[in-house]
Formats: sequence, structure tokens, C-alpha cells
Amino acid sequence: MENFEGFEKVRQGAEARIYVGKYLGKLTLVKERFEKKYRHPDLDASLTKDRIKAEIRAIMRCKIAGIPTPAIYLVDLERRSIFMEYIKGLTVKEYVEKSEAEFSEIRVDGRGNLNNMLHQLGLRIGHIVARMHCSNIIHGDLTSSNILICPGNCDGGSELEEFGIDELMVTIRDSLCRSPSNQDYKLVIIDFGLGKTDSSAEDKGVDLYVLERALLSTHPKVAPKTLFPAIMKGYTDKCGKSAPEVIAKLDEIRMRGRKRTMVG
Amino acid sequence: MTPEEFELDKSTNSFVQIALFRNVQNTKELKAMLLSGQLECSMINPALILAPFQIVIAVNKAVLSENQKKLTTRNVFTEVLYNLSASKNITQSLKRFGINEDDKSLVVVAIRKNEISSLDRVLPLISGDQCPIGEIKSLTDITLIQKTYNVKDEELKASQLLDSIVSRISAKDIFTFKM
Amino acid sequence: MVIAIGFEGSANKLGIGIIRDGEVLSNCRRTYITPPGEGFLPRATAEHHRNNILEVLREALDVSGVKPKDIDVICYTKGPGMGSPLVTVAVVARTVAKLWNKPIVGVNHCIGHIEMGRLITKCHNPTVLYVSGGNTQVIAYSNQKYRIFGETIDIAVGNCLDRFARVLKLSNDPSPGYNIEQLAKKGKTYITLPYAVKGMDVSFSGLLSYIEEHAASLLSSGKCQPEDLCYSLQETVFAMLVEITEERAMAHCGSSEVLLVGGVGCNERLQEMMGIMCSERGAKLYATDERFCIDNGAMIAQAGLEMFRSGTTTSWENTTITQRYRTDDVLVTWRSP
Repeated sequence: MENFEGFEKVRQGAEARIYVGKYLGKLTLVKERFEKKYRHPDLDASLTKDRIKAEIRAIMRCKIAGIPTPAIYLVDLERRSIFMEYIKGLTVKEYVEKSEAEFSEIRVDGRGNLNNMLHQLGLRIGHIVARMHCSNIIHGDLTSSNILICPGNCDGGSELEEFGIDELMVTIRDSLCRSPSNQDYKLVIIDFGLGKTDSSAEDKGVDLYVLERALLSTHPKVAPKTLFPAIMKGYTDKCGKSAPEVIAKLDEIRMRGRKRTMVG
Repeated sequence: MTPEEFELDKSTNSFVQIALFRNVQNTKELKAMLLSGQLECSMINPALILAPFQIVIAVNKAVLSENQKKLTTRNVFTEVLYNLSASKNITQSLKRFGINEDDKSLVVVAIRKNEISSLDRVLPLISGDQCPIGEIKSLTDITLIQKTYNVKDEELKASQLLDSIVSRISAKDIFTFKM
Repeated sequence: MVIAIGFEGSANKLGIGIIRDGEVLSNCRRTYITPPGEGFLPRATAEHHRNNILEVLREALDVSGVKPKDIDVICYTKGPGMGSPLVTVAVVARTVAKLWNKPIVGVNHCIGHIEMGRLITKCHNPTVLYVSGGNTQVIAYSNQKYRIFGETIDIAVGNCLDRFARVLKLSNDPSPGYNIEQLAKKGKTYITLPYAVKGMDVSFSGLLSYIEEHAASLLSSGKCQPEDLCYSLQETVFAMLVEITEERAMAHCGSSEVLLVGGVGCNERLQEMMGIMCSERGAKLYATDERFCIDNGAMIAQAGLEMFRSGTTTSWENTTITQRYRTDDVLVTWRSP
């Protein structure tokens, strides 16, 4: 903590601590990949360094390709940290879970239902993953926690405003329900620590497989029938010619898991 | 007029001071003094500056590198010029972002640590009109910036130009940008 | 009171154990050991099991002091595993079920490991790392299924260790993994090896082919000793396993218990690393020793007993075996949703 005076720790993940605070006049998020005592110090140091570098490379590749990612303010290998733009939004995980809870309580109004809305969201996720893959960027750890949904006007601002999650939910849902293709919300991909920037159909297949598995275990109710099929549709629509090869790989990878003989 | 001041990373106990000058008469002299190491500051070509934040990011990185004994160039002031560029070519970066003998406007950047700043010694040496840093907008050459940092229109669909620039400054040691 | 007998023989261990309401009355085992540099093949393994199973059954009954008439349910490993060893053991289990006129339950081998671990360690709702010669899975219970959060996308960790042992021509007695572990304790130099975590999954095949390709030259050039290779291999693969256990299942499920099961789970260095990770995040590690970590009969009895108590038995025509049997295919009827 002494490394990050003026910051507040907001989350501790398995791999990193997340701090938020004002830095150089901007609201900033710091991702510190802390030391893992269980692993050999050489391995720990090289993994940390590799992942910071992988994350930066993937963020920059996305940015250049026009895919929204946070702005980078500082890369500090000594402090094992990346300082980046704080983006106001909900993770897809939070959004889906909250929506599931709300839709199970209240009757749906005329604008659509949960499935419809998640279908629209899935299409958009599929589009953005397709765009990454078309630029040969592999995320390496796609999950619903690593995609943010932000209202279109989430740029700028230097204060951590008190924004209610409920308010954000309403804004995002309105955008999703009103018109599927509108641009008043955007998806931002984060956590590129396992990212790669040269890639084969196999890598892309694994990327989708990782996403599918993460969604199925995190959202068992909506992922199998709604969310993931919509993602694949969005992916195929956007990917064009290279889609069939990647999807064939995805099927092959799924079978590897299913067919593997498991002895002992 | 007092120069604009921004706090840097808390661990450095430092502040960056930025002042903008127009109608500068003695650029040639200033450049010679910079080269001989008499001035403890950086002097930057304002055409390539979109906003003070761009400078703050570059200076912050330079001061941290100095503290971590990882400077790529001679000193923290040349490092600022080098950092501003997205290229790893030192000579070219210093030339592009530094001042030319016939420039009429320039940005002065100094670092204040505790109460000590080199700026007080530098400012009287500049024969020109100091103006508010906000006026830098009128000197910015957006086309040149996009060209220098190689930011294509595709990128700007999802990113503000300033964000693209500061990200390049922060990432250049790790990511090689096509120039 | 319920008494269950379990028959296990899905790989090179043959085990029969008897359990009475969570108390292990006997747990007898024979291991088929192959010469250095060789793995075990299905036919020879089945032969080993055939030659030993009646003796082991006698021993299990004698040690427990239980008479066949006292037994309530016969449990056997339905899969996953090697075909012919599975068949060999299933035939005997089916025979005694008919002879003694008892109900029979086909058990998923992986579930056997999990239930045995839960019984012995008394943990409640752990994130399970199941690591053995054929399996590498991170598992957590939710909604009547043991769900797989992460797994290997190619070979199992134990398989990787076994094949590495063959490269170094280490003895298979008592097991290749045990001998790697002993050598690793003397290792000093850490060699960087490929580290492959893909999201929640791991991959060992790249690491193995790297070693197969480079071991000879690393050793002959004097860059490192066999001990160093064992040490570096363990450090690398175990770090991958701890990482996926922590990153995924624990972070996602908010779990504060880790249960280590399967043959590789006895490795003390893996236990130590997992223990450090747990203590850093305020979680608790549960592990068992080689009696229960390594394939055994009691674990099949324990899982079968739980199934039986919750009303599940296997109909005669379904007392088959299957080489592929996913952990998440089993409906867990004995735990609350």
C-alpha cells in the first residue's frame, strides 16, 4: 500500500490488487500484480513481467485497431503495476446477474424480455471478440468479468462520482432494449494479462472455448441457450471468411475435453 | 505569471512546472545553453503538444526512471523529450520534440522538488511573452501530431487523441510502434 | 448402519475397501509396477488385476472382520479409466453382487476421490484440485453437480510427470511421481520451462515436448543435473495448478477451502505451495496422505455408500463400464442443491 499513496484499494483478485485514486489529475485505476509467495521467485518475477508486457501489447493493439480499451498512464515494472484510465461501468457478469435477479421478480414490460436483451448483448460481445481476432489479438482469459459495459458518455471526469449501480443498470438496459445497434453504450475489454498478439485458428478457438466455459460456469441459466449462441452469431457475422475455420477448431477443442480418456 | 504546476507520482515528492512562451526572440541562444547543459529544464515544440497532460505523463515517467536509475538518455530533461516521442530513436525524438533555432514559441518544463525549482533561474533568460498554458491549443498542429504519433482515423473511432498519445508514451518501452 | 464394499481398478492400482458409515474398516491395494522407462499397458494391467483380485478381496474382508452377509451394497468403478482393467474388476464386482445377492452401484472414479477427501478431511464445500495420472481438474460443487472449472486441455499432470520420468529412466517403484519428488528435493538450479495457463485451463504437452527435446542436451552440457530438472519441472507445473485453482474456482465461488485429491495430491511440494496460497488468502488446505490420495477401494465404497443412502442403485443392465465418464455427468443426489 505504501507504494500507492492517495489510492484506495477497491478489489483484490487472485492475481492483482486493484486501487483507484486520483493520479496526475485523472481518476486512475492501478493494477498491481503482487508477489506470489508459493512460486519460485524467478518464475514469479518472469511471469509478472511477461503478463504486464502482454497486457500492454494487447491493449495497444486493440486501441490501434479501434477497439475500446483503457488509456495507459504508466507502466511501472518495479512496482509490478499498470496505471490506467478508470472506466465507469459494470462488468458483464454484474450486469447479467443483476438482470437475472430483477427479471425474475418483476414482469417484463413491453420492450422486450431478458432473453431478447441478452441476445443483443451477446451479439455485441461476439462482434468485439471477432474484431480482436481479425486483428490477430488473443485475449487469453475472456470471461464475463473481463468485459465492461459502459454508458456511451463514460469518458472523462476526474472525480470518482457517486454513481449508483442501479442508475447505471437502467441506462445500460435502456440502450440494450431500445435499439439493438445503437451506440449509446460500449463494451470495453480489460485484463489482457494472458493476451497474445500473434495467433492461429487454434489460439482463436481456445479463446472462444475459454469464454464459453467461463460463461457456462458463471451463468448456467442463460449462457447455454441465449448468451453464448448470440456471441457465436455475432462472431460469425463479423468475422467473415475466417469464421468457419475457427469454429471448426472450437468444436475440435470441445471434443478433446469430452473424448479424452481419463485414466487413474 | 506563475507557471502551471501539476503533482507527479507521490513517491517522487515532485511537481512539474509548465510555462508557455510566444514571440521568443532568443531561441538560438536558449538552445545553445540547453545543449551545453546550463539550463535545468526541457524546452518543447508546442506544435506537438495537445494538452498539458501529455507533458505531465512524459515528465512523470522521466522522474520515476531517474529515481529507479533507468534513464535512457543523458538526464531527466532530455528524457522528457525522448519520452514524449513514441519512437525509440533518441536523436530523432529529441530533435522532433525539442526546439529549433528559429522557433518563436516554446514550452518550458521544469521539476520542483520540495521548494527547490530550477524554473526561477530559467524564466528570466527567455526573451518572450509568457502566456497561459491554455493558449497552447492555438499552437497545436493536430495533423502533425497524428502523423508524428501515427494515429490513424480508425483508432480515433474508439479513443480520444489525447488518450492514444499518452498510452503510446507509457507503452513505448514494451510495444514497438510503427512510425 | 450401512456397510459398503468398493472395487477399484481403473488404472495400475487394484484396490478393495470396506466402509461402515464413514469409518474405513479396510483398504487393501496392489500396484502394477512396470520397469523403468516403460508405462503400463491395458492388457498387462488387466492381467495383473485378474491375478490379484481374489487375494485382495479375501484380505479386505479379513482385515475388516465383516462377513459378506453384513454388506449392504457393492460399489465398483464404472469409469473413467482403461477399458480392460475396468472390465476385469467390474466382472468380479458383478459376480459377488449376484453371489451375495446385494444391490450394486457403479461409481464415477473422480467422484470417489472427492467424496473420500471430504470424508477424511471433514471439509465442507471445498474447491477441489483433482490431479492424477489421467486427470487434472479444478472442481467445485454447485446445484447438484461437481462442476469442472478448469482442466487440462491436453495431457494430465500425472501423465506429464510419468513420461518425464521415462525420459530420465527413473524407477516406477513405488511410483514415478514419488521418485521425481525425492530427486527434486536435491535440486538447486531453476531452469525456465514453458508455462501454459490458458484462461482457466492448463496445458502440459508443450512443456513435455520441450523437456523431451532438451533434456539430453541440458544434462550432457552440464547446465543442470537430473535433480534440477525434477525440481524445475515440479516448480513449474505445480505453480500452474495452484494458479488455476486460485484464479478460477476460488475467486469465482468465493471458496475458502481447497481439497487436494488424486495421486499427485500426495506430493508434499504441491501441498506446501497450495498451503502458502491458501494462507495468503485466508483459506484452508485439506489434503490426505497416500492411503487415500492414490486410487483405492475405500473411496469407491464411500462414494457408492453416499449414492446408495440417497436412493441410487445401478440396474443390472447398466452395470457396464465406460472409459470416458465426465465428473460433471453425475447427478449428485446426496448433497443439498
